Amino acid sequence: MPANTSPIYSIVGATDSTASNNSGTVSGPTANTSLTGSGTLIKAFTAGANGSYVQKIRFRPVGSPAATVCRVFISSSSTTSATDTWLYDEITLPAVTVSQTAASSVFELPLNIALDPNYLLFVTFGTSTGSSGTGYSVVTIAGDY
Amino acid sequence: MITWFAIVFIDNSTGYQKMVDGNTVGVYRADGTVISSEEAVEYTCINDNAPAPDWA
Repeated sequence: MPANTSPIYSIVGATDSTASNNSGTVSGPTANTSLTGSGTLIKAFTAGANGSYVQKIRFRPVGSPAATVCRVFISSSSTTSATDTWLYDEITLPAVTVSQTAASSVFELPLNIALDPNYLLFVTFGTSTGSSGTGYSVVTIAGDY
Repeated sequence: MITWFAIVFIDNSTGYQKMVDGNTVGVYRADGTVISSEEAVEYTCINDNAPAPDWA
């Protein structure tokens, strides 16, 4: 018999960002080319105690970042070893030139997944987006169960 | 337009990220050794308008 035959909904919003987990720094100047989750990963989201529904990750350019690829990892542990951290998805982020008369393009990676309780989302960038302060504001839109 | 990022690897060695019109076309050690896209490295840009290296 199935354990749950009724749909469930998140009970409270759980928006998070790489800035909130990394002292407000813009993400992207540091590149990590690993595909295994080794090295320094940038935490983007932590699921709640009952799990979370993650709708999407949104990438807002800050300054004029160079083109790169952002990789998203799911991890069951903050220690992020190769056995508990898995490459889940990637998104191409093109070069963006800042404008004071037009909005910069925003990029979104749809996820629409239910994360296990206390699981984490991390991101890395395949190449550097520029010097400090030039990169992306990475915001995760989710809700906790 | 070609530009160069000065970068520092996690072991504090230096290198360059070569850019053409905002797109990365190569990552190099300081001596000009190219880093394969298969190689796992970690580095941070410290200057996104660095002078071109001598070997360029």
